[in-house]
Amino acid sequence: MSPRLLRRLPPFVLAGLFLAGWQALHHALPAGRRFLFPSLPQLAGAFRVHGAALLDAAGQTALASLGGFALAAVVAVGASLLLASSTLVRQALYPYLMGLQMVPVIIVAPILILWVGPGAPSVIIVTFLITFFPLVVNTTQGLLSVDQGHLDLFRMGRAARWQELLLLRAPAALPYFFTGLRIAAILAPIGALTADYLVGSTTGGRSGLGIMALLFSARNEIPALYATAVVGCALGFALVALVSGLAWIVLHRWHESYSPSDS
Amino acid sequence: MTPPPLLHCQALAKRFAATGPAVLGPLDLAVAPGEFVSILGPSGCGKSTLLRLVSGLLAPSGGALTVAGRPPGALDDLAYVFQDATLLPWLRVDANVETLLRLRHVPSAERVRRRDAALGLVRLAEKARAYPRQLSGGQRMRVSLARALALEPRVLLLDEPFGALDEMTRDHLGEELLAIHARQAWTALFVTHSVAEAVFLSSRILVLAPHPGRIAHDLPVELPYPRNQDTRRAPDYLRLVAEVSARLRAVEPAEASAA
Repeated sequence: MSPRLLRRLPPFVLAGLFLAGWQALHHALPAGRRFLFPSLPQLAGAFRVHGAALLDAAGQTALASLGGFALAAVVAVGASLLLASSTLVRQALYPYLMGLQMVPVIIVAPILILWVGPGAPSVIIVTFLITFFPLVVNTTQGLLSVDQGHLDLFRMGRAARWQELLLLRAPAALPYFFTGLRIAAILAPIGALTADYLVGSTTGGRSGLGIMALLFSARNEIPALYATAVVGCALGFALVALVSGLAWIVLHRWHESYSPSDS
Repeated sequence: MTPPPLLHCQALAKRFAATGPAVLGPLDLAVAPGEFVSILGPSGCGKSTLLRLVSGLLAPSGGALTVAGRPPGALDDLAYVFQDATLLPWLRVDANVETLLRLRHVPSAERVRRRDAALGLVRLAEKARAYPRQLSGGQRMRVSLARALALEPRVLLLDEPFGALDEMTRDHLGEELLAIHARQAWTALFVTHSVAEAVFLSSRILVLAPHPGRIAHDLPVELPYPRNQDTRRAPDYLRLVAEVSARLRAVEPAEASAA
């Protein structure tokens, strides 16, 4: 076997071991408790029965994740520009930002239902609330973390404030922004799923994964509940992959985190 | 008849706190157009402070300073080369060279002309589309130099520009800098720690003494231009290096020379 092939093997071996372990765990349980941890064939069965519904729900949750995520990214960039503009603004606004992150979703949920009613807009708002903080904190940090030599260069060049912001601070903040985006990408599907569970709606028969989880647990369909978890997980991976791809496109040519040797 | 000085300092002084000790001066200096002046001195003698005052990055606490008859902040054609290349890593070499021109709203056609000329001068035209991280340390410094030259400055301020490079690269860049100087009419203020570099490049050397920074020696370097590898072996050159080294040692504070 070629060494190249050998290097690619470990992830597959591990995946095989994982599936075998899963199956073994199912059989290790006493017969009366096995329903708590479905076997792989049971899981496959759940996918066969509910696959189409799950896929549709995943689409709904994906849209809500992306919506909340995109909204958070746009607002965070604006807020970061404001926060980076002065220490005074930063000190004054920071507690409120922290507050925004600390209000428990479970308390915001009923308020949101009163304000905007159940459904997609509420789900997007909750997702926004969960993903906003890491984005704004990282982006602000990036706008402030500018090399002193570069600042001197711009001052020597008699740069206007907007030039310094646009041509120096904004590009310097890009790697930080993408760090925030990566964290937000992990949080967004969890947020959208939780939000769907709390403030989602089944109106028009279009529900997200949170509502599906609610339904399956009410009907005691354990394998289907596991299948929902797997789909939610896949959604998270997809979003992270999307963000990583974007980061690569923007940063790989110049940023040191993408060294030319390991491309 | 001597031309009027391009750079003129009269009792120039700088203190960082209103009541604090003077970091620099009072200092008198006149530099004529086309001179290549190196500034040597122990750390803390205010070499970089002097450069920053001339550039307008710092405001003097006392005395008068004019560049081409005007206060330094007003003069547009003054360029600064830092110890680090300070290239913007997200821009290609050509865009980096254009950065300062862009800040000054130079029209695009003119920007391109000056950029290509500057890259030609530092012999890096073929690297125009590369990113800074693809360049060696010496190449990065040449891009940094090109960025300054693209301003077509009358005064070029260089703050230990080759300090972070190995000796070979350093000698090489020194020769290139002189070759460019021979073709263009700028005046150089060059801060360095290397006596050999100062003697090789300059038409005049200022040795600064610390606490407060002041000019201890103002020495002409009467070696003929163009200078090259042979210059570095010439008896006159070696004698000057020894002489300047001795003068520099004499102004070093005792504890610094013991360290």
